[in-house]
Amino acid sequence: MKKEILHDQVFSVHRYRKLLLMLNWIFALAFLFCLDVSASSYSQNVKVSLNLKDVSLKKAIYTLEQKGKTRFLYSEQLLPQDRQITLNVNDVLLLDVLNTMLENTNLDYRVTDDGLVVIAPKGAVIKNIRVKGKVVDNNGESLPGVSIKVLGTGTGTVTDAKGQYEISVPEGASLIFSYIGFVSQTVPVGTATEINITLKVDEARQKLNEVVVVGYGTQRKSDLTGSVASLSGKDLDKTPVIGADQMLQGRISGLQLTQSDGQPGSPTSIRIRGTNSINSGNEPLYVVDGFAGVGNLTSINPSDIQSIEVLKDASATAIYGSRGANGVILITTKKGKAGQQTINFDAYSGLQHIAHKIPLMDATQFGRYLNEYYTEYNAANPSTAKALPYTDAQIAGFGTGTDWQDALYRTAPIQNYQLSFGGGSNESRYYLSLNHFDQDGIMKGTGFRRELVRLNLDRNIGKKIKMGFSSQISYNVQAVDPTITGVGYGAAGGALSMSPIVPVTDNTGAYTFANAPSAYVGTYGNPVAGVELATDQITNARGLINTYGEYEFIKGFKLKSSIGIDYNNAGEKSYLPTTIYIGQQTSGAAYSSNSVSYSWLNENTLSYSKVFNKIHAIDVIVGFSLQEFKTKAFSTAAQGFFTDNLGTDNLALGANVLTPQSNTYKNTIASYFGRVNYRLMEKYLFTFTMRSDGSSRFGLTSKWGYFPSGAFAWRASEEDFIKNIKQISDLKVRLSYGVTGNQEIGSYQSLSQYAINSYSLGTTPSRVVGVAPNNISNPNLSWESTASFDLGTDFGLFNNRISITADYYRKTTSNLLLNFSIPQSSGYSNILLNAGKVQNSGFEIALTTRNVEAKNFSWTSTINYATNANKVLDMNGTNNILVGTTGSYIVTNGLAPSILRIGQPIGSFYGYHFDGIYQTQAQITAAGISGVVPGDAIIRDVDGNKIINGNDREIIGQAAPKFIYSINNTLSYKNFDLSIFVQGVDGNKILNLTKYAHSGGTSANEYTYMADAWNGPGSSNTVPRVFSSSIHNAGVVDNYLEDGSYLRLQTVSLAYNVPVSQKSRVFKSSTVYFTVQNLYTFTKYTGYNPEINSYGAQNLNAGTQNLNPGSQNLNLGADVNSYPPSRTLLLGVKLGF
Amino acid sequence: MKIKILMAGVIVALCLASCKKFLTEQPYSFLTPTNFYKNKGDAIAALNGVFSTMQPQTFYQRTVYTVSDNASDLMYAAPGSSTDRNSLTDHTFASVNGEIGNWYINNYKMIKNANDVIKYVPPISMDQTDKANIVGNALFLRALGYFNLMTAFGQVPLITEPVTAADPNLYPKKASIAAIYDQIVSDLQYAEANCYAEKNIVAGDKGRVSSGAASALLAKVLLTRAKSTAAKATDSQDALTECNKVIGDTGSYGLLSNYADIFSSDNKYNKEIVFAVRFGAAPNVGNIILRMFYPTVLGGYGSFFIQNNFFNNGFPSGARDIRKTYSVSNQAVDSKGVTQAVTPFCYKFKDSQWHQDNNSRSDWFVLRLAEVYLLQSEALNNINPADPNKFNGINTIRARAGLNLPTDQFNLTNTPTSDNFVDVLLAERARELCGEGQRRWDLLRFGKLKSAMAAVGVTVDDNHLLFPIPQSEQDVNPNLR
Repeated sequence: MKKEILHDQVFSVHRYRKLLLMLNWIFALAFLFCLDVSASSYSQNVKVSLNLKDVSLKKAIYTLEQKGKTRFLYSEQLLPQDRQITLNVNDVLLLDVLNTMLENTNLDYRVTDDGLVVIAPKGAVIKNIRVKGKVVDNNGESLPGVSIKVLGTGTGTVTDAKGQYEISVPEGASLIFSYIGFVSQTVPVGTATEINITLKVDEARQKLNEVVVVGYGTQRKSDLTGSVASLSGKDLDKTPVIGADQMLQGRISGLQLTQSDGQPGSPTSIRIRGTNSINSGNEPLYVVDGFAGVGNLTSINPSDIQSIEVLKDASATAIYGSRGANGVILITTKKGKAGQQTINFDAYSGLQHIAHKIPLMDATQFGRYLNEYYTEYNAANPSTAKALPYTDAQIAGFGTGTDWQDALYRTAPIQNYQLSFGGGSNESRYYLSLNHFDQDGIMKGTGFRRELVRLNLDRNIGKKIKMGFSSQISYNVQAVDPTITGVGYGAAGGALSMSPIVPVTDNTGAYTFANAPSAYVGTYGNPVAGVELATDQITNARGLINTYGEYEFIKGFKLKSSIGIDYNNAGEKSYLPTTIYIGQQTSGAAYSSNSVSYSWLNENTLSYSKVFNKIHAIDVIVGFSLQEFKTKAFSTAAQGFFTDNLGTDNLALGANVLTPQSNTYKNTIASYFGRVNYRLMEKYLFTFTMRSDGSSRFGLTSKWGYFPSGAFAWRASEEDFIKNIKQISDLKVRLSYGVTGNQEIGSYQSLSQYAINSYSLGTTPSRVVGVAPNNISNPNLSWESTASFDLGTDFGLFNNRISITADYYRKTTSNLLLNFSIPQSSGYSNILLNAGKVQNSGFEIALTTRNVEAKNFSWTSTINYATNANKVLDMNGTNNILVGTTGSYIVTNGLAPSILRIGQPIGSFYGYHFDGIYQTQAQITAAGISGVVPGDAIIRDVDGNKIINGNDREIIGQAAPKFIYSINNTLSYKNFDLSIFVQGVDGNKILNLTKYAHSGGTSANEYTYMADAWNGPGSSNTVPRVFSSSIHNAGVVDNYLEDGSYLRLQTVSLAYNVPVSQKSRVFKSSTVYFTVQNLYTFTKYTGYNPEINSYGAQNLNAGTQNLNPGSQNLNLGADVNSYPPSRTLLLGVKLGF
Repeated sequence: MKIKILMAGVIVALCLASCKKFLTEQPYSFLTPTNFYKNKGDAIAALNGVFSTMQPQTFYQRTVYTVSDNASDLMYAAPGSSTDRNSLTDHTFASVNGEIGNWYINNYKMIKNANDVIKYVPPISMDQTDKANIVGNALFLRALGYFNLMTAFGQVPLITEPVTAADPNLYPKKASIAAIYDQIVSDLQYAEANCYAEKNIVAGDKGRVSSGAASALLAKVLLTRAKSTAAKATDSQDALTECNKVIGDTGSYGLLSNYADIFSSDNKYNKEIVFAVRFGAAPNVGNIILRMFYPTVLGGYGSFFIQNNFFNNGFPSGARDIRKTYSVSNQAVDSKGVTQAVTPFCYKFKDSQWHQDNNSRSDWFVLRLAEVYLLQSEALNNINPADPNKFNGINTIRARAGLNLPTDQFNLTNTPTSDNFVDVLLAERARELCGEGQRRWDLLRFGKLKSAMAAVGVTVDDNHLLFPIPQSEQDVNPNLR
């Protein structure tokens, strides 16, 4: 095939007349270029058989080339038009035949040493000219090592480190520029002496040869048998993100990201292919530069990331064994590249503001509401009647009052600066980056700051030894709302609760102290004063270092050993001054804590890689690793401060020093693992993986778990019958099955523990220390195991203009680490068991289309779509377990909002149906329900026994979406890049506890719709009378369960690549961009943010150190007084030097 | 090359050998059965662990009066403040009520910890008297837990051993009333026989269960049983014996002459206290009792108020009854010294050091000598309504409250019948013990809850006399449905 192309090219030179004049030179210079002796002997020795009758010389020569498979170089114009050839030869030397054809013309031929047959006028001389130039890529970066060959010969050169070359070529010849990963270009030299070339990336081929990071190694993407999604380079650089986890949002099919609130620096929660576990952790395993078990990504600088791989199925994750069941996220940071010295400076700066406010009553509305409430209260409770809080005249003077949301939230700045240096030689390479990130939160007093230095070094010692070092030192400071006392209790809730009649500051300019009038409304401190006057700073200093050495002791055999340390020093300091409400309660309260957690990891692998007989490629890796996590923490607190001056910096000032706490815990993992990859004829791919993990966390009898997987893939596009279908550029079918595990429970859970408590004894009481049993032990506690099946395909059409990755999977998690509720007559609320099964199945598709690829305009779209169906199959024989909490927002806090039920998904909301409002007493009498009056809610009497109780609850909605999707469009026009990123979820419900808290009662400000509450027959069938507690009394009622579907215009980014002269000695590249994040959300949800999981932080098992995770794991889809998300506008610049 | 492979093999083998140790969990910050219950110190710490379960808000800081005084004719919860509390006042509570759940769960937590001590302390090698005292303390607390549960819920599961994963007692059935009483009585008899007398408890241990506390609780238990379906003929007589033991132990107990002194946090564990839940040792162990009862003028939350009916009509002797001016109030002096009118509230517990929030030092009185006097009167009335001695106890208490005129004192002339006596006894108990978590159980014992609640406009149906077993418990234990 290749030869034919070359052959065609030969004819393109024929229009150059001067060629033949210079032809003779070829003989003189040939020795300089000729490398391929065998080829010349080939053209001299090849024999042909021909039968020609009255054909033109042109046709005859062409036929001879075909038959002899030999390249001729000549100009068509030189061939005599009138000459007719008739020949019949059998097995005659090609050159003899040519000789015969050229008889009686003025043409002669010569054979160069590399087999090129040159036909030229007799006695002609060919001149060589020197050509030089520079080869660059699309971005103007010089390309070193580009191969340059003279067409039709074996001669050539390569570009130097600056991308420059110089070559001597016969005038009229052509040059072929080729470089791995780029489309080759053939350029006729003509008489030009300088030829500069811009090579285009060969996306189709690059895609095929793209290397992705997998567990303990790398693989060609085309060789993958498992489901691995990869983001790299330009995907990641396109738009600025605040945290590394945000890079994943909407860009990986089957990955869902939610946040517990909009607080800057708060971790997000990630689910890959649904929720596997009921009580154990569901977060994926994070691996940074080979270091597994990195708690979360908050302190990873997104700009340092070279690539992110998300391993989804068992074939990909089984190598991580007991930690692979929830998927694995591999982060690879940037490394220096040999021969390139780069300096990059990125900076952006922007503003954030609240994206959406909740409609609450103004002062006049709330005044009227309170009066209405107490009017109804007095009618119902004459013996404890109270005066109405306000007179009509007072209410008339209220106006709109205070908008506490406006008072608490602000337009907040955000900025990021990044300076990086990269480069090196073949022997040693470096990457150094410095980062400063500073984000103020939209809530006053909150924010997040990060300082980070990363240094990555790689060194080759000789050809057999490699060593490397990747490290980061970071320091984060997160300023959080200091007044938070529990989920939903804090300034965000305060702003929704404070009476709008109360001003932010009094007439002296001082903050008003608390909500008023007391005894009529809830007792809260001024939330603005809280966040402005109190402080709560969470700091984290982290050193994450991983080093490795690799020794190739026999060709193909590599021994690699790595040692890494992740050291975290975290602290929190908070101070509540006496000048704010919750500070006054305790005369000032100071809290200080510190925890040092470190983990070390040692991994040792032996790998072997070899191709046998050209068709059997084998890659084997075996290894063992040891890892230890240890945390030591202490905290101390004091109250009763006579001055607020020193805050947390001198706790001894507090009159009341509280009991200090300290804690140390440790867990360890030991592992053996191995993997065999076998590739047959580039078509059939097999992977077998086995890992054996021992974890300290499990019972004495069940420390070790075994996790095998196998996978097969067929690269159908390598089969001849598909190769012939031009439309199909790539087709692979993958099939995998395997078992992975989950060990994410706290340490020591299998042991019987006595917890420490205390009591007061003595005439003048003093503290005595007590001890009490804390759990029911389970020495058989063991792994959760997930058996997963994946059938997938990678499909490329039209030269990969359209590429599709689609997967169907089914995972069954059994031996669940189930926090099983037991009767509390035991004195315990639950026991941790291995029992039960959960199934997840789903379909994922990622579709990338390169819609337009014109010279000045290109447009690429990526669509991700994923469904997941979750089903509880077994729970230790129980059909129903009630789970979750609503805090006290639904006052019946003994009642859980969700149920685990066999056959139903995790996250099934469980409660009552709201069927409107009783309008008349007659209606109530007819219904036969007691304890309600007109204006109360109709709670559906499901069992029809005329009593509304727990038996009338049903599953009323699902917290998990039916599907999640995203669409990313990237458009380039000349120097402009536009990126539009849309993502959404569909089919989920959110339990809007915020609405619960602000609909009815007098403890908080109310939603404006409460002004339209029922006040007589026919007045409302949706909002009960103001004084009604019929809904709150019942518990979770479905009129507070809202559709959580949304479509969010997440990011719009416009970039302009400022043209940089190739001669510029300073700049290599320069881009300015403008980005809007969270531009608009299409949703019916009435809270701040449908992408919410208020109890989400409790669903995390970040850090793998959580002593008692789990019990809140199932509190999905609740929104309670959350920190609202912001809309962010950024202006940035990227400069390359 | 072979050497390298050999070395790698050796490394793997070494790891295999050390793995077992590597994977053994080493507890750092907590005790396990392997390193606990070894000596007297451990036994005492375990006993402290039982006492400790009484301190949470959800037990003897808040729930205790939320489910008793608040669910009676003496107090009510602030309107609209909390369905849990309001529905107890209104007697519309359901099985999902959180406070009812708290009362159930925390009593069982205390019982669980007591069961651990009762089982694991006896094998410890230590002084036998000390050991019996410790076990007696635990038995008293277990009995208190069951008594609390039975008076509130009626039949409940009876568990007397630590529960393990494979135990059938994990899913218990309800025990009969008689069986629960038998267990309580036998536990208290052991405690009475083996706990130290109050006068012999050293100052630093004040708050431990005394022999007298066991007698007093036993008296109350027997008088409650006397009114129940499990009544035994000797109950009232036995109760009288127990009351007399306590009243007769003047070395340990005595009525304070000044009523206010009983409740002052500067006079803790005075001679009138028979058993109390202790609070107030720095740090961390104050309580929210004052915050819940006091109005906002005084820095409280005003969560519970005194019923107007009780405030206006509960003290017919008016201000001559010290308790009318001391225990309840409708005015309060604010921080600027201005007296303000407020909704009537319970002003009984006082702490000179308290300003705000959760750190009042007041103890919660479970048994007080004054009540034993009233129990003595009750027992005598049960035994023989014609016995004039039955007025001694109640009259002693009234005299101490300032009602010492002859017309203030009860006798067979002004209180001729047994029913008359019960009425004045209940009214006296309300005046003497209001805000001390007794009222609901008193009314239930005498079958007077419905009529008492009717006086404050609350209708109580039969389903709301006893508390329902918490819904969460019914959900997980099919044996309770």
